[in-house]
Amino acid sequence: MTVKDFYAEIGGDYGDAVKRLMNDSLIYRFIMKFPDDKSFDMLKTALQKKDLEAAFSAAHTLKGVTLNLAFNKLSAASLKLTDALRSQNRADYSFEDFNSMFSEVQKEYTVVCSALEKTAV
Amino acid sequence: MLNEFETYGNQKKRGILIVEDNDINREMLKSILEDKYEITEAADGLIGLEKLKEGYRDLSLVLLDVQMPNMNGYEFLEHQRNDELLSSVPVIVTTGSTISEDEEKCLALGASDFVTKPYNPRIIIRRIEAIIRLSESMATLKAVEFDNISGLYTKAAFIHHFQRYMDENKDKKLDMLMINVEGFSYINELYGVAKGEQLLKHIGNVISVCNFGAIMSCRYTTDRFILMRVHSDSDVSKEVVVYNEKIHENSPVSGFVLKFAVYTDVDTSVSAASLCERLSVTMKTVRRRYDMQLAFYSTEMANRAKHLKKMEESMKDALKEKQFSVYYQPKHDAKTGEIAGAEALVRWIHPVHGFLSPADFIPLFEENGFITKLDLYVWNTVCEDIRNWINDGIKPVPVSVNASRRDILSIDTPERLLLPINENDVDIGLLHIEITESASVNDNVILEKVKAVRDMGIKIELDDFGSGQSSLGTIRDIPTDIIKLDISFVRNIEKQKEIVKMIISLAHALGHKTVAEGVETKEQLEILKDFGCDYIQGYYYSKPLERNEFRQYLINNKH
Repeated sequence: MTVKDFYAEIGGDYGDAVKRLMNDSLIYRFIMKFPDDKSFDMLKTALQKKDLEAAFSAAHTLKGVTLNLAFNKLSAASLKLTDALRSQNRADYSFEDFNSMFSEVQKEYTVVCSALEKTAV
Repeated sequence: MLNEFETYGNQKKRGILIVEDNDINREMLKSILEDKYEITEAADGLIGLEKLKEGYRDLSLVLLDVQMPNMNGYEFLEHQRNDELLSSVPVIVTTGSTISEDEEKCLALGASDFVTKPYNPRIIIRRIEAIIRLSESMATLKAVEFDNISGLYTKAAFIHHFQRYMDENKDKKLDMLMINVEGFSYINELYGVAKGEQLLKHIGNVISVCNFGAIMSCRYTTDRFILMRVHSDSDVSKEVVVYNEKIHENSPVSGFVLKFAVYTDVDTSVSAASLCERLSVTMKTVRRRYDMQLAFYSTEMANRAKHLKKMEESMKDALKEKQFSVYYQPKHDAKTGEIAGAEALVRWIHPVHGFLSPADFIPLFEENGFITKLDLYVWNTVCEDIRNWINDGIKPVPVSVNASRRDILSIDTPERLLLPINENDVDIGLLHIEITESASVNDNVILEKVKAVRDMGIKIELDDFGSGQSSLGTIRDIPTDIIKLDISFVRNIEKQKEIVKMIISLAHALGHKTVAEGVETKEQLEILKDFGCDYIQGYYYSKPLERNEFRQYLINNKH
């Protein structure tokens, strides 16, 4: 799978990625690092421990990285969770809300990771 | 613009420190920037701060993430802000958030700009170029490492390195030594600024070459040097004699006096900046003391400084709460004995320290500038009092008010003086200003201002004449109406009759009146009367009187 196909499969913005990251080989270099990124695992663990501050921090990082990589669907899902986890908003949500938002993130994350496996050369 | 910047940049790649905990983000920034810049990376704020301390000389910019473990971006900015050298490196915050409060907070903490995710290389590069260009164009205003006259550290650099040294050597006992060239401004006046600079250069050179056991040293202010060294129990007073000789050897200027302040086994829990401040306080105790060359820091000194600080804090409220009261000391005509005027004096009725005389607070106020507010308050009060006497049918007498050098230098002095006179509709001839000769000698700006005040119709009294470094030239140069003999002439009048007589005659010959203050005895009065002194002020007639007492005094004393 080409880099362009990869972006189509995960609902990312290839055009934006090319515009900002110059070329396919550079994009490839960065997206291949994504499976090593710890923010998703940290988010998962923090939510399991109900540590909302750590969860916010991890979601925030995940949102930032995915924005940079133009993984639009995943970054949109993590943005939603990040905003809900902000200290000033937390009270408006139940724990079930966080979990359901997290499963959205997890769904998109899984899509990205399996697409990456198919892209790897 | 860009071309100019780029050619500039060709000489050597500028350094950028990327402080970002996320590997992908950090590498993305690095790949965007590494063609043009020398990149240093840090995975959290704490590491970032260390890298900045190590490499600030070669860093043109910091790119800083906000959300980070160990030390976040805000904390990083706060630490950086407290160190003048570190804060000279500009920071761009890389924020993932769209919440503008975060950005505001960063800017308030000293960040120069921010970029948001997703990173757009072209925008990032443009912003970085703009910030670096701005910061380099201001570089002359920024903290520099070495003082170009002495070759030693600048104050900012010294405080930075001293602090680092203490942080890294927590168990070490340290000593500090300050060297001050006393009366440096006189050297400049006497030999010229170039010679003065040569002297500073010479001292810097001696300190670098002879070292005096210093780990590091700086030129702290114009004429003050600080050395920091490992604590020793040796006799500093002997060492100081040697240092004094060394500095005088082959000096481009002779006849200057060095003063030393020593602080041994410094309190390393206190910041480097405060330690230097303590040394300055210590130096003050030997300033203008001809009998002392060396002072040691003591806790008593610190307490005194603390006391002064408290006084300083309480002074503003004091004015609002009317804790200052104006006292009047009568002046009498020497021949007729009638009251002929008064000097307005200020007392501070302090809520904690009680009754304070000017000696307790005027030096402090002169230093911190509060004196101008206080003197103006006295001036206003005097104008009001004169108006009240007139309203009550009491014949007023001229009142003299003290003015400091700072008062006279205030740009709008004449206007500020006129305001209460006009408001209270008081005859301007009833108001005198006392200036000391030391405040006015050899200073054309002051002389011009004094002349302007005198031209308005306010009489000038030259206070403390004959004390300190007075010269007969002063009496000729200062526009004045009345000469006030220094109190020391009256105290020892028996021993210096000829001098007192001469000063009075000289004043008269130049068309000035004379006042003697501190007159306590009949004998003193008679001698002064014989010599033709015009006015007498002192306990012989009256002590300084509280406002209401003085009002009664005016009623009781025919004039």
